[in-house]
Amino acid sequence: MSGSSRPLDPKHAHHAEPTLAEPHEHADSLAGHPIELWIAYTLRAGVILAALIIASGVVVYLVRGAGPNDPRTLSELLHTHATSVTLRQIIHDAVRGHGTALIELGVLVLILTPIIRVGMTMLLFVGERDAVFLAIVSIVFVILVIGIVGVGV
Amino acid sequence: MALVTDDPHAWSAMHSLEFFVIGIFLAAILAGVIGSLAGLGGGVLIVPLLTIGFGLDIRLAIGASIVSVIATSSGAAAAYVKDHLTNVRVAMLLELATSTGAITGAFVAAYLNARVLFALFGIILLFSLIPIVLKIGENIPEDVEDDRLSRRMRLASAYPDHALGRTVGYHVTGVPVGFGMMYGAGIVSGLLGIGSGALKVLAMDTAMRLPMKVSSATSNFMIGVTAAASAGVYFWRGDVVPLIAAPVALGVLVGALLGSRVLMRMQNNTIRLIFIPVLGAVSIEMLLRAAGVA
Repeated sequence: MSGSSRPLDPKHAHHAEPTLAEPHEHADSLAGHPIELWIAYTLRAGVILAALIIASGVVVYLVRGAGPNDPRTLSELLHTHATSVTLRQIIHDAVRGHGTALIELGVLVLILTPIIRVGMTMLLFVGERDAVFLAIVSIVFVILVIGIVGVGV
Repeated sequence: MALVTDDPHAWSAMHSLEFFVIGIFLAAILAGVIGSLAGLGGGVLIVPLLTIGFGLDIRLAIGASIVSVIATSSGAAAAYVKDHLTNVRVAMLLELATSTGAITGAFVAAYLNARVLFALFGIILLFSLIPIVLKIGENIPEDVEDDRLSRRMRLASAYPDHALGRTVGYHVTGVPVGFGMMYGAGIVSGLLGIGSGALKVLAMDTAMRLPMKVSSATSNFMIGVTAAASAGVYFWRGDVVPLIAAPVALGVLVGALLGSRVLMRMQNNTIRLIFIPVLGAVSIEMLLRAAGVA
């Protein structure tokens, strides 16, 4: 599979100069691909889901008031010192109906949305049998996963 | 549950907190509208808004901003896919550089003094005016030949141009230079909590000579991915404060939706006339902050 794109190189170079037919065909095969449509739907669904969770967190906060770890006054909010967050704490608080923990869950869904998109793009290149780009997208995916897992924080 | 306290001052203080959050929400809607009109996504306005307008620590402003950048970029990118404008291969290749840069930037930001962040922000904001002022990319680049990497990676493509009524084929050059510029754009994004769309478009336009419409759509595709790379670092560090991030993310989303409707009916020149003075003033204000004057 890794050899499939290399032998094409010189041929491709000659083709690309006189006619644009090949790039054109290429653009259609990528953008019109059903996986691309699924990617678009996933993006939209991820953003809508995140927005709904965040909004419900705001509503819960307004109805129930501040939780034990939340700022209670404006000056407390303005002087918030960043303290590191853990997934365990967020889930613990969200289950107990803390509005701010729900907001944090929504933010996590939002951050995961583009990462899932990149994961789906990997499928796109599997379908295209393009080993070089499969490798590139996989590396990007790993970098993103390292970012979200929070190595070194 | 916490609404009842015996301290009368606490009651009014808590309501001022609520008004503050609502105020941020309304301001974020405005930033979303202006940002989507100018094609910058709104993130670039959020940090000045939260720091200068609402007196927040610049680090917490950056944390809220990076989250809102993901929201607007992902929302807009979904629409672009159908237009066949995004070059997914170019985006993914360059994303190697931007996502690495973004994580670098997010780590470095923790060690930088707030005034340095203000200064960098002001300078980047001035830079992002360049494409708007110079009207970069109004013509489709001619006589571009694929460079070696572009040929090997088959980056050349084509897009349907509705204004011209035909499919426009294009080639991609200057991949190594573009890649390097993208690493810089990634660092800026991770450091300042913005999409750095202007820098990305600049790299694709000037170094790689992509048509403007392709650069814009591809940049938009990339912004959300780049922002997601650094957002995790900000999130776990606790810089994404829920009561600030929620009104910012929701407000910018609502604003971007409204803005995209107004956009259909506005002239390009009107947008430029509104936007250049606004961005110019904001960047000067940020630089004054950095100098300790404001």
